[in-house]
Amino acid sequence: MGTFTESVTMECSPDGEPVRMWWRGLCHEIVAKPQSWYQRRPWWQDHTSLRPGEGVGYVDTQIWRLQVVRDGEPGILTMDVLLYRPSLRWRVIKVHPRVEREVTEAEPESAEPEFREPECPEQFQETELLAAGTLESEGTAECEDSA
Amino acid sequence: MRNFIHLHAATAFSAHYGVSWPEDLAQAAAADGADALAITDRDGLYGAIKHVKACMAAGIDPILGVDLAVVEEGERGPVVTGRVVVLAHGGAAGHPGAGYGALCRLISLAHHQPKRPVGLTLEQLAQGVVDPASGHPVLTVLLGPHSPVGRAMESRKYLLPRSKFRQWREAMPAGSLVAEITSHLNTPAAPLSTTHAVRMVKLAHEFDVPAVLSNAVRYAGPEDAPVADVLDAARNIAPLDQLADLQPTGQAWLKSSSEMEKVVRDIADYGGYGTSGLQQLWANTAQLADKCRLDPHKDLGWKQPRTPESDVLGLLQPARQELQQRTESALLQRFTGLSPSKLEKARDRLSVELATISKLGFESYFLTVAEVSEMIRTMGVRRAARGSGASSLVNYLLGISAVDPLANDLLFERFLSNDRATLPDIDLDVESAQRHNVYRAIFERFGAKRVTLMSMQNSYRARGAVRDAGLALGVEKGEIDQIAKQLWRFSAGSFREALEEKPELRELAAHVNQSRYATEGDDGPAPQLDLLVDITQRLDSLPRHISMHPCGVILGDSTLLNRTPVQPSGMGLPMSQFDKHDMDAMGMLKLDVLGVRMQSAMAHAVREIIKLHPSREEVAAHGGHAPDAPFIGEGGAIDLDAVPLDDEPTFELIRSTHTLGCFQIESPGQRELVGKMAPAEFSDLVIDISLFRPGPMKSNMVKPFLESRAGFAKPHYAHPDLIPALAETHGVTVFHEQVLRTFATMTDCTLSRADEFRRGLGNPAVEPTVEQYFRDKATAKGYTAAVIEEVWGTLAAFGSFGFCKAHGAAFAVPTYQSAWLKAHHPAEFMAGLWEHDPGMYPRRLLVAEARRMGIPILPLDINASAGEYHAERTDAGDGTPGATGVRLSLAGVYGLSATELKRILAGQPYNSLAELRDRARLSRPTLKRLAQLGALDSLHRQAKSHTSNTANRADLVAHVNSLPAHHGSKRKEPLLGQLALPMEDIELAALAAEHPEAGLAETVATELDLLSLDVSGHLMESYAPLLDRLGVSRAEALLGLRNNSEVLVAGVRVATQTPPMRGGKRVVFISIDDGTGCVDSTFFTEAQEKSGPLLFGTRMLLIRGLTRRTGPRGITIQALEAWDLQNLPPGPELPGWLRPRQTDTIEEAHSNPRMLLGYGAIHDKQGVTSASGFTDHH
Repeated sequence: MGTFTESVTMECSPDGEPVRMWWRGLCHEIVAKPQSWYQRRPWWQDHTSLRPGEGVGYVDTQIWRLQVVRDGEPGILTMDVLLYRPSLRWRVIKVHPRVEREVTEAEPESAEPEFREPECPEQFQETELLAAGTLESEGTAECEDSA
Repeated sequence: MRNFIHLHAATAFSAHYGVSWPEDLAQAAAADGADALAITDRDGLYGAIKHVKACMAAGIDPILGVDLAVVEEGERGPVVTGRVVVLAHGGAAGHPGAGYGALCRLISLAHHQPKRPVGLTLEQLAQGVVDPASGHPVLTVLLGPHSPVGRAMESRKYLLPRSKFRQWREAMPAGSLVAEITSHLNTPAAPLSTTHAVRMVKLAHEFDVPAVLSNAVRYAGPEDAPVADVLDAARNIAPLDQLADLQPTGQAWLKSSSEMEKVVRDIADYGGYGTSGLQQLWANTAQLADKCRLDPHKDLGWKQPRTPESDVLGLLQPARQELQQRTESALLQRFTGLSPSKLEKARDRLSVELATISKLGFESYFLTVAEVSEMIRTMGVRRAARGSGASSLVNYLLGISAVDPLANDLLFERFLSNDRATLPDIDLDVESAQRHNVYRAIFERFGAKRVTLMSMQNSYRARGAVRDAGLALGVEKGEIDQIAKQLWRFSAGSFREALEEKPELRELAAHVNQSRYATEGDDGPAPQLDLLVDITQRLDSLPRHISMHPCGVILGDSTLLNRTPVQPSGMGLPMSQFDKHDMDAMGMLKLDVLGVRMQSAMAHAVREIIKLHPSREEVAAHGGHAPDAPFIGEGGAIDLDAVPLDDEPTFELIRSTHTLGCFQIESPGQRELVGKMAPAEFSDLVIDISLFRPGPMKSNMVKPFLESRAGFAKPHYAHPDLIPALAETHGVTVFHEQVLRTFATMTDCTLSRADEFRRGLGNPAVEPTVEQYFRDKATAKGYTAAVIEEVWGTLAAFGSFGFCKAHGAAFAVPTYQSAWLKAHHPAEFMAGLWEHDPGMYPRRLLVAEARRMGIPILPLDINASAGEYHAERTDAGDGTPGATGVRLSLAGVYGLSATELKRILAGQPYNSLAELRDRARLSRPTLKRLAQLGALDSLHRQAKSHTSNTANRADLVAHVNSLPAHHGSKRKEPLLGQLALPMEDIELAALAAEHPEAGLAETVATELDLLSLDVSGHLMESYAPLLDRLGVSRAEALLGLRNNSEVLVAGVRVATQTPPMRGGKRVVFISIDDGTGCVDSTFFTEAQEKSGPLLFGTRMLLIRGLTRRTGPRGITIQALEAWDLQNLPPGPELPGWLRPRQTDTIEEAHSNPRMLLGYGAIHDKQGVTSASGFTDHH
């Protein structure tokens, strides 16, 4: 488990869906349909202008949860990646520990969803907290890899 | 698969919620290939008609609905528990208009819920969706993420959404309910997430209710998502940082079909649906859209005028015959003395007008307006028609307008023509104080189902926008106030431009620049000024709320409330959710009944005249009229409308430029213009009023006109053929009527065609066609290229600016009447002005004007003063009658409540302070204020008259202040039957004289504080020693100075104007009053630069400038520099000859701190008006 704000290079389908990712010189092949959602950000704290036409990507940031297979490594990793707009730059913010992934991703949405819902906020909570501090600094790459 | 149709979208007319204009949304939808678009504004159809227009322009079908609050009974009364979308079905699915009518009624019902928030209960919705005529549902309710069902998913009660859904399913009639599936792609399991959307799909499936897809749109594109945040902050009156329920993501834009496909695929993925489920959702949406497509003509009655039914008007014959009969008999009556040839002309004119009216089918419109006008007359309320309606002989003959269009050479075609099928505007001015009574009478006369008030949209301008932007960003309130105060009459959209250009914003601009370069290393977060400027610009002109339009009344037939939703207005009567831009499209007859304070002031003056002079002879003697003047009634009532328009003393007064208080001609610019023009007859006033407008001022028409009129220059005509059209204005094109005649003369077109051409001027899309036509036809008629060139130049420059002569003529009537009153009955006229405060200036300037005219200003008196300003006879001191004075009104006293005023008046007269206390039961502060203002002096004087007591007002004030607070106990009241002895006021007679008497300066300061008037003397009087030492010239002395003399002037600001000017450079006009008159000063760019922030904020000004002679009676100051009179700066900016005395000047100004404070109230009008001094009514 670790947090990152390292930029990555993403290869996408014509639809804009991630297909392949290069990170730290390694190719990460996306092996399952990725999930994505958006998360608010306090734009009024970190933007100093809102000129006509500006504003895309102010209110929310897109988060992608990817199942990847890393070059030369066995097994599947779950990673959370941010897409900044309008610059369309990608950053890794989280690599989930393998164990947790296997528990949570084993049977996607097969059961009655109503009873699975309470788990979700907890699952994402940590990501939110960690991301809050790192979402804004697009410029410098810091790494506290503890995986 | 067909392109996606949005069924849920708010426009900017959902105040403090929607961001985008209907035009932008419709165009975006059409550009994406959608063939329909729904607009669902919050709790109303505020943007509906604009949406329909926009859809017609974009070539797509309009769908109308509402995003309506749902009310449920909570533990502490009714509360809003969510919102649903309600869409109207189109006529293709049932009876045309049934769906739209039901929607209107449903919304009106939602607003007509006393003691409950706006919204409807489930039961009311279930009833409201059914068409009473057919018994079938004609509305569809969409249960979406914001509905009580969707909201129930936010809680952890897993069964709640299902039981809520069941409740709705059971209550709503079959076929009237669908589930609205929306995902704003929020974090899974949070509101507006795809997982919630999936759950709604499942519920819909479970209850066998169709599900449709929407995006709950708030803005056209993703770049406007932050603006929606700011609106959320404004709506909740809280900074963004503190808002809990901001939109969860920025996804609420009008997404394209392909983007909506992604959303739907996301839903299918999460829900485990295949392509078929996905297609079903998409197809359901298209199907509902089809059901709700509206045909503007069939469903809304687009552009089909509806007027009250003939039986409501009491007609016994068809409207056409009635109108013909009435106007023909009036023609014979009005024009009895006319020569046969002229009478024939009038007949011809009448038949032309009647033919046009009948062709357009507007007979009942005219009869309706006539009915309203007559009703107002019989109420005894003054009224006057204004606007282009004065061009119509029919209006004159029906008694709607008092202006004879034949005598004034007015063209009917300017008002109404076959080429233009829009309902004409007839505007009625009534006494402002009677306006609400007139409205109520109209509702009673025509019935509440045929009448509603019109509303207007109030939009963000610079000040409001910067305040709300600051609120959202959490900028400290004091700082925002500081910034807002500096913004002066420009749109929020040009804030950045203004920062660069305007000298008074220099300091703010510098701060903004600094904030841009503020780095993270600074202490604390830098104020986000740059962002503040941007947000302010983005809020520009967004609607904030609707309110009652100042004059619009909508009259229709009994179907009116099926055609517009209504909601309560501030005065209680219902108002339409549509504004004036919607009237024409909806075929709604809008009558402008405008409250005009001047009409009230004049009515007041006429009543005052009768009161003091209750017979024809007395009024004639008092006003200097002929003893048998026909316009004075037996009892002394003056019929202002019957006063001849050629009264010499009236024109003398106008030429003197002492026109403060006169309608339309009191502004600084107008005083200058009448001084130059020296009007001698009524038509001069018509021209004067028409000239003093942005158009003529901008295109430099005034100077050639004045020069030709004065005989300095020969009038110039491009061609002799144009002389008949232009002679009245010496060759200068001033009136719309002249443009029409010019077109007609040079191209042989009809006048109604010419009016269409005139409307095309200045419109880049149309003007080239007009130009081509003009050049071709004029060439064919043999005009030379040079003539054509010149005339076209004039027409093009004229653009759409000029003035309709009929407007000018209608305005000139009250102008003349008010000047007539000022010339003949000045004190009574002043009483009317003070009572109704009609003009552009603060009331205290008109008090100063009375002082200048030698009209006694009678102080407040607990016995003599009433709740109104009254004219009062004075005696000259030697037993003979003196001038008529004006007694101040108790209503103006600060802090005096309406009930206290009522008790004072009921208890008058008082013989002693004790009586006043007992009967009026005033609060101690009120009693003290009355004593301070001298209202108790007469009681005091009377009590002292038999003693040698020397106590003064200060002693009286001290005594009143020491009295125990009044207790509302009844014990002290005399027993019934016990007569009060007529005793002398021992209490006041025995007051100890121990306080020094207040000086004039202090008295005046008190009066300003408590009355907003300087009564005992002009407030500048106490500055006299300072002004004398500085060598300041007085207003009355300026006329004796040479042109171009350098002078210092000083006074209280009474008006500030920034009219649009030729060349686009801003000029600021500031008028100050020094007690001897007004000084009008002009600040050009350089002087503005030098004076900076002083220009708009300062009340007492010292101005250095050069005299500019403007005419035989006029002189103005071209300002070089200005200072705050109360805060003269030390240092080098002041001219050298001021500096040596500078220390004592400041001490002088500060020696009486009360003079420095408490001027807030004098400036209740801010001395601000629009550029022309009156609003535009084209």
